[in-house]
Amino acid sequence: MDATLTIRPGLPPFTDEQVITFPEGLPGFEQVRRYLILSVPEHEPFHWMEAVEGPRLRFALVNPLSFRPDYQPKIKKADLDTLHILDPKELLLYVIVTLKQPLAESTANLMGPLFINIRERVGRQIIIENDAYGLRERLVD
Amino acid sequence: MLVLTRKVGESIRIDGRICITVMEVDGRTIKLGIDAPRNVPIHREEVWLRILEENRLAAAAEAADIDLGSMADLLKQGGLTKPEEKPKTEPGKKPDGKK
Repeated sequence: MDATLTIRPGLPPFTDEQVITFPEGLPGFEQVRRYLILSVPEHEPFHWMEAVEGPRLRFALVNPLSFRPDYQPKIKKADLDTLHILDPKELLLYVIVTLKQPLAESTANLMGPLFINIRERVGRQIIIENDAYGLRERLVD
Repeated sequence: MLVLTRKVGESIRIDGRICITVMEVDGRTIKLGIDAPRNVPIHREEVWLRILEENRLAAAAEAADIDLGSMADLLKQGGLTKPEEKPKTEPGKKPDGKK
């Protein structure tokens, strides 16, 4: 746990315990498996999720409940099972933000939320295959 | 692309662990049954492509070096007021990023 990995410029020091592994990567980035979630109080409820290895890659994440308190994506039991969630408290839910200029045009992908098991530090992007939530939903009206 | 001809009820097996069976054919619509380990993600191609494209867009947008602090401010000003929202579990990964 105290083994500090090779740090790419721009990444703060971190340990293995902070790394979140996406065993299948994200669609379009299947080879990138290991990410850090970088949180800054001033950025709440946004976070950066930055790839640990390889060329610089990062995604802006947001807790969907911060702008959509009723967000309740229905996911298949099989999907939930692969995350080994034993207790809802272990589950961390984020959606990826596509940042735009002007910032108010930015959208969140509510169709492909990220589910993270914080106990095992494993995540998956789960695709919600119904029309309940859109791929590009505005964060501000 | 490998092209195989199958009849209703016949299957193809991929990599020893994935089995796709033609269940039903109705005109131009075909119903497929898929047996695969649970950790194998299976999606309709067009849905999967939309997610992939959006992920790429999201990663590219990051290159513009946008400050997430400005996003946070924007959400506070223009976003929804959250009267009864329970705070979601904080990530709490970063000792230095703690609230």
